[in-house]
Order: sequence, then structure tokens, then C-alpha cells
Amino acid sequence: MSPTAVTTSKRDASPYDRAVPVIPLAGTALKRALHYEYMRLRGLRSTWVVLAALITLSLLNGVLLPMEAMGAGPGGAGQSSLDTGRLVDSLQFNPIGMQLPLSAWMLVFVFGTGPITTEFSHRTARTAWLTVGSRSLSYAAKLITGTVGALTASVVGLVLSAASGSTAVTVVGLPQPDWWAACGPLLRYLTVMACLPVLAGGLAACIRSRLMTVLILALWPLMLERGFGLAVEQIPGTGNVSEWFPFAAARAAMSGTENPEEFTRLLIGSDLAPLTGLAVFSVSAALIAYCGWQVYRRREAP
Amino acid sequence: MADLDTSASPLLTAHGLSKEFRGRRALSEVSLELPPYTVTGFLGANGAGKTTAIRLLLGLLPGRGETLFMGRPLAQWRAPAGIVGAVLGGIAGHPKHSVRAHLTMVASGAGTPSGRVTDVLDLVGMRESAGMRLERLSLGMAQRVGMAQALIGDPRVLILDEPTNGLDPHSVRWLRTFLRDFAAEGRAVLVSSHQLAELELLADRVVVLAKGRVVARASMSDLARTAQGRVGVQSPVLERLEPLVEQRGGALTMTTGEAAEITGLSRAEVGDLAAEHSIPLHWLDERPASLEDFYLSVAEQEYRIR
Repeated sequence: MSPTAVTTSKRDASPYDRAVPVIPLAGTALKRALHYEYMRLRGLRSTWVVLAALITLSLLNGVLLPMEAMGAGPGGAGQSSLDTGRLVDSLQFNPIGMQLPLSAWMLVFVFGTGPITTEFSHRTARTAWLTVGSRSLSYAAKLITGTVGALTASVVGLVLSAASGSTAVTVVGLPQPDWWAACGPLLRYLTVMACLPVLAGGLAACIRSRLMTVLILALWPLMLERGFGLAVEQIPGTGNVSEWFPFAAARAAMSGTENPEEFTRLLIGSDLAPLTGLAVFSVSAALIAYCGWQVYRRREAP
Repeated sequence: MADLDTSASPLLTAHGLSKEFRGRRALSEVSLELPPYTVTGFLGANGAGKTTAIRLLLGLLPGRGETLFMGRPLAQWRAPAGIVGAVLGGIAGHPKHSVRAHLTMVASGAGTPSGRVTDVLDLVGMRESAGMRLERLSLGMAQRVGMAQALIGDPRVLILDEPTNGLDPHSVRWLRTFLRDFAAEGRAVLVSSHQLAELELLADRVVVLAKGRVVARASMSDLARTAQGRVGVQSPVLERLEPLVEQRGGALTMTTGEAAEITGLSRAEVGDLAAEHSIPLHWLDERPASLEDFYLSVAEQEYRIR
């Protein structure tokens, strides 16, 4: 088998002889990487199952809003309008009671950790890195797609909750709550939901293990911040440091209650002003994403 | 060592690829070129560093050295799927994705029209199985889907690591023909394989890796000069022939009762030797050096040096 024989006979006919591939613009490369991530999510049944569950729960959340209003009246059986704090907490899927909105628990694994941890568990990194332009693009696309996905799902869930809630309140003859007053906290909730995949993606890139990422994300808002905060606050001069922790700050940002009672304050875990809380959470998410990027770009493709 | 004289610039040039795993050197200063119009075989024993070298070439593994695809690092092309396609042992995708969903995703990332998915599925004979989940694919099917994925971006270079694993004989034959045609279009192919007979039919040149170093490169046409052929003989008195062959610097190895293989002497030399000593021969033939002979002779020299 002589290579030169093959070469000579075919060389003239080759369409690749002088063809130089076109280098796409950086924007085009990013667009392709985003499309790749979108198609990855779209091709998974789990994405649709989670979104369907979120839509169902959102509708249910709205339908149950009159019960919240009835429970809010004097003696728990009144006919008063729902106050803004309870309205917001309900539409946000109870972030104070659960320490993180239920919607966040649902979406974070699909849009936050999943895209990165599957690269380790299913060796998909090599496919991603040999398809989209670079590791930077791949990582950026995962975070952007996760953010847009979680934000879109949260907006849809919120609109469905509000629409079904408003209808249900009208049907049972209760006065409409102050929807305008809820707009601020709800916008901050959406911002938290948009930042969450960034934080979770960065964390997944740092930890690499799917199971450990899930475990740490589950324990962080529930236990780690409080346990660590209590320990740190034993050191004289540290003050109330735990209220600056990311998820405590996020709860402060999402809160719609102006002067919460003591138990609610304890559940929130932070007295930061909403916008300060939002800034703390956003910066924390960005920092963790940056750490994740430092790990991700040096990584081996499994 | 003899390299092919190719007038066109190499599509892939790698210099000084080196990699250590926990202080143990896995690859040492490996350099490689893939000229257009050629299929290059990548040979080496288990643990020789072939897969590590391929992963370094593709940037999947951090390490020392530089790989240029048509004069640029892969990342600078921003669309790697149009530059290089790789088949590294089946398919690397989410197990819950269907074949079509996986390939559509890759096509999206590569910036190729989704119609290309059907084309490559047809090409590898997997159109009927497009709805199957990746987790349900057999090894052979996964190899074919991996091949389809590698081809989606219509790459200039194909890199395949043991591509015939799990393939049935028809698919192996198809792959061989396909890769020959692919290279004949002016593209380059690198195939790492243990199947020497298969590579012999496919490759234009070979690069041999041993203990993380390139120890030989040769075009297939140079193999005959580099490696020794074998002479097959049949005689009822092989025990008389054996010391005579050894005296002339050859070696005789018994194969069956009255048959043997001789290395180090040509067919004519063996025939003359037998005639001089009145040794009857019932069969005498000469088999040209095979890739296996070449590989074994290189490996033998390499291990003797060490």
C-alpha cells in the first residue's frame, strides 16, 4: 500500500487541497455553544419532568392562595386581603420556611449542577470541548444557559401562580392582595433564581463529584451556614457575621416583610437590606463561578 | 526511520508532547505530523502512551508540548468540529439522550445544519436506531455513532483510538474503505490500533510508540526494507538444515512437523544452502515483511536497548 500512489491519483480532485476553514466570530462561537447547551437540556427527559412539575406546583400554589388569605385573617378565619409578606412568601415557594425556594431545589440540579457534573459522570466533556470552541466557551455557555433556563422557568412559574391565584381569590370573593407591592421582592426572587445556577455550576466545577455537589448544596442553606455562623460568632469581635453568608443574604433579599417577627427573622437569618442581600448573593455566586472556572479550565476530560 | 515525502503542509503538527502522571513519565517529547492524503497508523503495546498522546493532541489532557492544526492551536479555530473529529472508544454522551438528540446537539455546537445528522446516520448505517438511547447501544453501535459524531463537522483530520473494537467484519471493511476514501480527499487520518493486520490494509505510514517515546516511523513501502521477511520451508530433515541456517546468521523456527520459518536469509540463500548439503526441500516460499514483523522487530530492538 503506497501512500504516494494514493496521493498522486486523488490530489487533483480534492476539494480540501487549498480550502482553509473559516474561523467563526467569537459571538458566533458563543451562540453555537449556547445552542449546544440548549439542545443538551432539551434532549433530556428530566428537564421536561422538572418543568412540568414546576408548572403544576405553580398552578397549585396560585389556587391555594385564598386559603393563605383566609388563614391570615383574625383568628385564622378572616376574609381579609393577603398581606404582602405572605403573598410574596407563597409565590416564591416559601423560601423562609424551606431556607431556599422549593422552585430553586427543583431547578438547581437541572440548570446548575447537572450540565457540569455529567461531564465527569458520563464523560461528556470530551464531546463538548471538541464541538464548541473552547473550555471557556463551554463553561460560559453552561452558566448562561442555566441562568436563562432557571430564570425563564421561574418567570413562567411566577406568572402562572399569580394568574391562578388572582383568579382563585376572585372566585372565592376575597379582595385582591396588593400585587404592586409584591413586585420588588418578586424581582429580587427572580434575580436570586438567575444567580443560583451560576453558584451551583461553579460549585460543581470545584467539587467535581455529582453526589458531593448535591449533598453540599442541600446542606449549605439548611445547616452549613447556620452551623458555621454559630461557630464563627463564638470568636469575640466577629459580630453577626452569619447574616452575610450567601443564602442568608438571599433570604433577606427575597423577603417581602418589612418588620418580621422574631421567629421569621431567625428563619431568614439576616437583617441585611434587601438590595444589600441581593448584592451579597450575586457577588458570592460570581466568586464561586470564578473559582469553578479556574478548576474547569485546568481539568482533564474524563 | 523514513518519513513520507509529502509536498503539502501537514494538517496536524505536534511537537514535544510530554505528560507525567504523579511523577511517572507517561509520554516523553513525542512529535508527530499528519500529512494530507494519508492514513497514519499509531502502534504501541498496552501502556505505551498512545491514548495519552491522542488526548494531548486533542487538548483533552493538560500537558507539555504544542499541537497545531493547519498551523493553529485547535482552540483558535473556534469551531473544532470542522477541524478534527475524534473517535475515542464509543460515544461520550448523556446516556438518556437518544442517538438523534445527541447528534443534533453536536451539530448545533458545530454550527452545521441539522440535516447533516441524517446524512451521518445514513453513512454509518444507524438511521433505524436514531431513536435509541445511548445507554442501550451495543459496543459496535456506539462505535458507529461515535464515528457519526466525529464526522458531523466535516473535519479535515480524523483521529481514531481502536476504532474497530466491537465492530463486525462488514463494519470493519466499511470503515477501512471509508477511511481510505476520506484520506484520498486530501484529509488526514490517525488510527491507533492493536490490530496490526487491519492497519496493514489501511495505513500509509506507521508511527511506533514504546514506553512513551516514538521509536520508529516508516511508510508502509519502507517496511520491507526495515523489517526482515520470512522464508517458509518444508523438509523431512529440518534438523539438518537448522544448524546450517544458524551458521549463516539466520534463525529457524519449527511451525509444524515438517515445516519451519526462517528469518535472516533470503529464499534463494535457503534454497542454495539446502542444495549444497543435499537436503531435500518439499516447499520453499518467501513471505514479505508484514507490519507485525516490523512492529515486533522495532519492539525487540527497543527492549533490547533498555
